[in-house]
Amino acid sequence: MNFYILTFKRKIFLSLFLVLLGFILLDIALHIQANRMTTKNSYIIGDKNSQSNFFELNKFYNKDIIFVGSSRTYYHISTNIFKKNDIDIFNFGMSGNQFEDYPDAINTIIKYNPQKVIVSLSVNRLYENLNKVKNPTLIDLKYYFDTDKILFLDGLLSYIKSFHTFFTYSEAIFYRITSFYNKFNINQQTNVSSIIKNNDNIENYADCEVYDIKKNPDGNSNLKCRNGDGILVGNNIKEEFINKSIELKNLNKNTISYIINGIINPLLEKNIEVTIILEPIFKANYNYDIKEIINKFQNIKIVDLTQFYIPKEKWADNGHLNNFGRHYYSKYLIELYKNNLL
Amino acid sequence: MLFNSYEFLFAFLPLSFFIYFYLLNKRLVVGAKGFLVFVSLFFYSWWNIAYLPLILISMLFNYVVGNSLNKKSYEENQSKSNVKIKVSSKTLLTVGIVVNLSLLAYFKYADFFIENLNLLSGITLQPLNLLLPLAISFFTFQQIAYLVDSYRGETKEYDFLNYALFVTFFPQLIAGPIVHHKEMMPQFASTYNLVKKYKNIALGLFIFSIGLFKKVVIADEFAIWATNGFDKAETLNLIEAWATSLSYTFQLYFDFSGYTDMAIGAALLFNIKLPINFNSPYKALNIQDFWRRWHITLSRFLRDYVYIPLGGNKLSSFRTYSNLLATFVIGGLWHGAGWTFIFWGFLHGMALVIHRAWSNLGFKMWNWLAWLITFNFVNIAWIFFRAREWEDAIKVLGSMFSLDLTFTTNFLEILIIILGLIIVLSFRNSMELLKRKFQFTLFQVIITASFLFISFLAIRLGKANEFLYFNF
Repeated sequence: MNFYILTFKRKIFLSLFLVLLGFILLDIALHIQANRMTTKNSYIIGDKNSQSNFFELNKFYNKDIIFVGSSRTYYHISTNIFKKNDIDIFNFGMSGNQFEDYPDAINTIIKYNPQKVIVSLSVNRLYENLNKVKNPTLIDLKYYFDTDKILFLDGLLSYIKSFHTFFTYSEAIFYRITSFYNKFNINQQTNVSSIIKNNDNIENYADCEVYDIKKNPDGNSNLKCRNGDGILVGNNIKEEFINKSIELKNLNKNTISYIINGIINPLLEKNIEVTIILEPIFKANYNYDIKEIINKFQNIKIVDLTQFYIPKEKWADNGHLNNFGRHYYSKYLIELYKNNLL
Repeated sequence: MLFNSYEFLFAFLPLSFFIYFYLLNKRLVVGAKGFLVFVSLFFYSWWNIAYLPLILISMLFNYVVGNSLNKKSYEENQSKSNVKIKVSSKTLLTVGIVVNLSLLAYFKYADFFIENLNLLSGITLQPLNLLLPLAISFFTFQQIAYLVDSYRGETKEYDFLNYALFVTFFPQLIAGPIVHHKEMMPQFASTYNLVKKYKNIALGLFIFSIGLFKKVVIADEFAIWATNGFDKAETLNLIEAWATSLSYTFQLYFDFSGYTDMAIGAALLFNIKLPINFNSPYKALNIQDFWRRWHITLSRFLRDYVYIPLGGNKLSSFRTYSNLLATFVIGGLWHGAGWTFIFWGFLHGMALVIHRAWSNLGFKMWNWLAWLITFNFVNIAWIFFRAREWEDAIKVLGSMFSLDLTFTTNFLEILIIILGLIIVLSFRNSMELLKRKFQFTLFQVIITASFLFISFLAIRLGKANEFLYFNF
């Protein structure tokens, strides 16, 4: 067909169709790549589906403990330290996620019959409204629907958007482009991976098999392990924030209901023990009534570590522990577990 | 709402387009135009609804004054001096211009005035800290031109709907081009433009895609380096300083001309042809040539409504030079309430004076040298335009002529700056397409699709930066 006999109208449709085709092809390519990156030995950090697939591919049946949480679980729990103490765990911490994302993880976990699930969250979140979830799944949406209709609609929109795979992976692509650009820097910043390789002292940083090392924008290094753990190396604390005391009052009904219905009850129904850890916060200065929290959550253990002191040098940044802090924290949890306090 | 936001691209623009032509298809011409005014005001209010009353009052006031001037001008011509007119046209025009300029002065220049008054007198008046209404400089200038032409009897008695469309039409509302009623009103009034024209849509889509690509892929990349050099770096070496200034020079061009392309493209979807605003300005061989290629509609406004009324070149040489200088100082001040903007205008005014004197003396120069001088002058003058403080300008300018030859700049940055230079010097500009017969060839279809596709990806990957000219 001669192109010049096409009308302007058809040419307009052709150009718009080509754009659409471009997106479809890109999405297919990204989908294939994402599947390739999820294996028995690795998954895409921050991608709920990839992490769940990783868990299912490994068929982690009958674990002693499964830790569920955000990046503050992913970077704070050392699987191997627990292993050395004969405790078989899995670190289901999800970098970039929050407790609103956990129902989906719980749905995967209950199929594999663990003895105990420990859910970590920050105490202040119990007093706040539910947040939007970046990439909700149908399971998350179910609990949104039961708890907050507005958030459900918002989540539904995000769910529909997530079919466009590029949306899901755009941040990762952006970081890859930045990393490519930085390769052309004359004054390369000292690369932690080269330090590690050169000095051959990886065990100082990691207690697991590392398969990826990246430099975070704040200067800390981010190590990914094949067993599902993550490690932050560095110490970049900012202390200039105002350290005033914050009063936490009136537990948020929707938030509590979401946690009970979406996270706790599905586990209890399968006779899986549940513990909630109120995770340590750097220089935490919250005033709250722990009894009120305990009363809200029946049949589960609440371990309040909000004020648990961890020295400054063991923090990578204001929210996360570094490799030293991770070791310290994991050891402490083991002690609690052995003493039946966890 | 930004042209490079998903809300605009996937919701606002297509919905406006389809509903407008649907209403026209149903022969609801007034409804369709009213709808276009409504969506334009919605587009304007998207940033801040607080801006809305101001543009509505300004529009209404200028329409009433313009119409009165138009009638008076007609009556004066008819009756000569037989009929006594209570308020003379000149008084009405003066009132109109004063009100417009007062509005601009109050919102845009009051704090600058207070700041300087405090500095000179030692008193401490509190700044007003007013929220600068979006695009106030654009719609004020546009309407002043309308009043002046009404006074001159060069306007017709337009109906309010067409006038409102002339002021608010969303593609040009925020950052121009500064349209003239003579080129817009007949288009809004023409019944010929009330039917969907696929050729215009195709051309609009093509030009829009080029503009979007210029903005989100090219300009935003240069913006990162310009911001680093101007705002973040404490010191710069020679190469970093040149990379910084050139990055801003290219950022501004690709950003502003990209925006204009998008405005022209979006307007074409509605069968409206906006005036050309850029014509490869960095190819200019002298400063006068530059101003015939850069922000053409602003140059046209300054020429017709500032330079010529001041006397233009009809008086003595000295008056011509001082008129040129005054026009460009006003041009600098129009861009922003700051001494760096005034100094930038002064530099351009001086350059035009020197160029005129040079031409009058009959001197000639090799083209390559003329280009080199013009381009570097423009590049250096932009430093004052961009710098937030004098210190930033001095930092960049001083480093450009320092002897610190340390090489620390990213290779890719250097490569892209060189590529930017090649593009602005050797490529034909998008506006040349408007002059030629447009076929929408296979190549153009592929370019349109590729530019749109890459731009959509880039929007998602990067943060949607506001267009630079929104601030003016």
